[in-house]
Amino acid sequence: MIHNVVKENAYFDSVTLMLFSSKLNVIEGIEEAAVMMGTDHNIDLMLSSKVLTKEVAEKVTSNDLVIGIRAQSQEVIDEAIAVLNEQFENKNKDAKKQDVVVKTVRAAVSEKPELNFSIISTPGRFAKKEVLNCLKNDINVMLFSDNVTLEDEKELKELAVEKGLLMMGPDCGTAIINGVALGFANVVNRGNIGIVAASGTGLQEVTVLVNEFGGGLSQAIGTGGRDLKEAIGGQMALMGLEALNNDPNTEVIGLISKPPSTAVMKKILEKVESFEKPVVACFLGGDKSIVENSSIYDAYTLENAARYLVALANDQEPTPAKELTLADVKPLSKNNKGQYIRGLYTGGTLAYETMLLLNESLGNVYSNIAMDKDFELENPELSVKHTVVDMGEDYFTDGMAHPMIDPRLRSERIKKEVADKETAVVLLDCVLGYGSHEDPAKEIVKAIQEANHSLVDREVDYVASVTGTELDPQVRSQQVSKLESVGVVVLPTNAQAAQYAALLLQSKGGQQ
Amino acid sequence: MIIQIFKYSASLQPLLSKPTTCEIHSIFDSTINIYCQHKLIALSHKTAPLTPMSINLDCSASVFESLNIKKEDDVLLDDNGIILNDQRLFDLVGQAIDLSYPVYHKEIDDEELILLKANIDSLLLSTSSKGLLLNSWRTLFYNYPKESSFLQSYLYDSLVDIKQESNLRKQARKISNLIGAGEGLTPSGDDFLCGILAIFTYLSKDETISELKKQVVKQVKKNAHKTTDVSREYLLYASEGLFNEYVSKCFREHNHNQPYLQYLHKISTLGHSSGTDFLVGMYFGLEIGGIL
Repeated sequence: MIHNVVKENAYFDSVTLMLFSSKLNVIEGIEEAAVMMGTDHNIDLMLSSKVLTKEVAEKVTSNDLVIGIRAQSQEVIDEAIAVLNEQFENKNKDAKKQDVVVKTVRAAVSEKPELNFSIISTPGRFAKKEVLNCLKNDINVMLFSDNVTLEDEKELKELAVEKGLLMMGPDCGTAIINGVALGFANVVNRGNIGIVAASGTGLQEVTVLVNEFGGGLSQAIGTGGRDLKEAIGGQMALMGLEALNNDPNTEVIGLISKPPSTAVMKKILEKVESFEKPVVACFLGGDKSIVENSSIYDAYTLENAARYLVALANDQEPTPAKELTLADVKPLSKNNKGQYIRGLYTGGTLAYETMLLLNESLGNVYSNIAMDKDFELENPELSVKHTVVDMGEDYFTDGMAHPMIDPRLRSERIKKEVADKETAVVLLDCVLGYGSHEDPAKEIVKAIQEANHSLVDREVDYVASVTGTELDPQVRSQQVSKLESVGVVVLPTNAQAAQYAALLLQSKGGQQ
Repeated sequence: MIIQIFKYSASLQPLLSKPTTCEIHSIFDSTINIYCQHKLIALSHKTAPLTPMSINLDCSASVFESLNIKKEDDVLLDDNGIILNDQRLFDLVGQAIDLSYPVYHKEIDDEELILLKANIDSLLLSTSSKGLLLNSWRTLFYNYPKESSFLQSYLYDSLVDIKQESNLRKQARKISNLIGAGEGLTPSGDDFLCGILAIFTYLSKDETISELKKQVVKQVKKNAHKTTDVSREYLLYASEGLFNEYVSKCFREHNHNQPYLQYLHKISTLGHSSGTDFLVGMYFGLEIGGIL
């Protein structure tokens, strides 16, 4: 039996058309189903394949959507019609959701005068105007936009500080305010630890580890990546620290960043000296001496920052994580003939921490975010010896979604690295939470399975960490299970994953 | 709030030179098509790939999705931009982008062309993208199992036919026979054709390829009306050597011996299968052109 549905001048995108087709083709009893535009050619094909009647064929045009179903019985056709109607209804519901409530800040404020928080994501050169609108209306701001000038950032933060408001950003993608995860953030327990961070995935790693170690968050304030540079003067970091010090719900304070400028460091130290609450700082890659003789607890890694924060919140002496040794490491696969580590990261700070740690143990790590220009990748698409790639960097995200949202580019790169005979270990992050891909581990697993097809008479080892919690939509333990099912060694933290990978090579006598 | 135009295809400049009443043709999440003087203009957001019919607005994808535009809205184009329902929404201050690219300056048997084909081959093998034309390619070149649908069989047989044909005119006809064939808002056959034309344009220094291109273009212009409006526009632009910015950048970089793989990757991610169908077309263009 043949049944046809025609939607005249119906413009559904190809993904939707494929979805309709796939829903129909799994119905038992369907002999053939086609969902296609009514072009001359397609009509001929559908006629010759007996999924279209002549009467319908005579009426359709190229811009009509034609659905052809050939089935064993009327019952099957009825089921197919019900499935189609459900799909069309879902599309209509999606369309209605796009109604805009307000178009301006003024309209929003007059609609809801009690508004006190905004998230702004506009092209950089329009951001300032919108931020000013918000600040002048006493609305705190999380500014997602990048391409904002340093001068504008300075001006906006000066106004925010003057008014006692937060201006988190620009390029701030992560915050947790009053228990609400904003941007790329994770679901964590509430508690008495407050954090200020000039680093998105750095903040995510520390907050999920605080959660893991039994602690909880009062607030997690993002400042934007440039806040601690001299031009900005650490305005939001200082304000955030002050706010946490005055917050009755916060008993321990954390600060996560790359090393600040000397002048800003001095201001931070002066500010913190007056605090009674303990402060833990993780200045990734920073010289330990910068916090010597201060009251700040210096954490070398993001993991240690979390450990110290939780210990201090429980009135315990902070102790660093035990470093992994060769005894903790399973040997490399028997047939692993490679020499190098290839780290492929979606989180910039996670890549940065890994690069630092691998440089310490193996040395000479190439990267697209290398501090030493001698080890900067000439072509970010081509790895050289030990390489760590931040796939969220502008080179990869120009015109593409960030890899934490759309992992396709990283999946392709995994396959490419595995196909390279010099690769011994592929090292990965897997970042969960709101804003991230709905199932990043599934995509990694698929990439690994496809990559392993290219292995002839050799093996590659995979190491990863998962940044997330059990409360995240993706559920951390489920993501870990998926990765382990294809042989990935999953470590509890990013730092441990980097250490493990280095030790794996050393266990073989890998080349430096 | 006025949204600026971020960048637009230079080929639209004649359309934008005088006031014209248009109508909304179709609305998608990340594109709104406007029908203007028998041509389509595609409005999209800042990070969408620019196509020969694109005007990209200076706003994020999420802001674009929230624009309250309906099919029955009035649209007026003038030399300052676009007016929607008597309200000026967009100003024409963005950059006009030329999407053409130079012809490859070396001979057809050059190593870099062999490498280009190998890179496309590798990408088509490793991509997780789905599509019947891609399946057909994999079956033809790598003996992957064939799916049983009528469309799969048709596409596979067509590819075999094109590959085996040695007569130029017949080959051009067989290639063009795929107009309007396949799944998708831009049917797979059309995307495949565009990919072939992209390569033929790039290699048109070679006389044989130039002649083959001429034959295919002739057929395309004759038969482009047999497919969807959106696809027809792409085919006609392809006949003039104009493609989206990833394609343009890919060939420009390749021509200058610069890294171009990221653009091949980006092409592969377009649409549901449009990108991989296009790459299959590029592969065939190189195969037919004699790049082994």
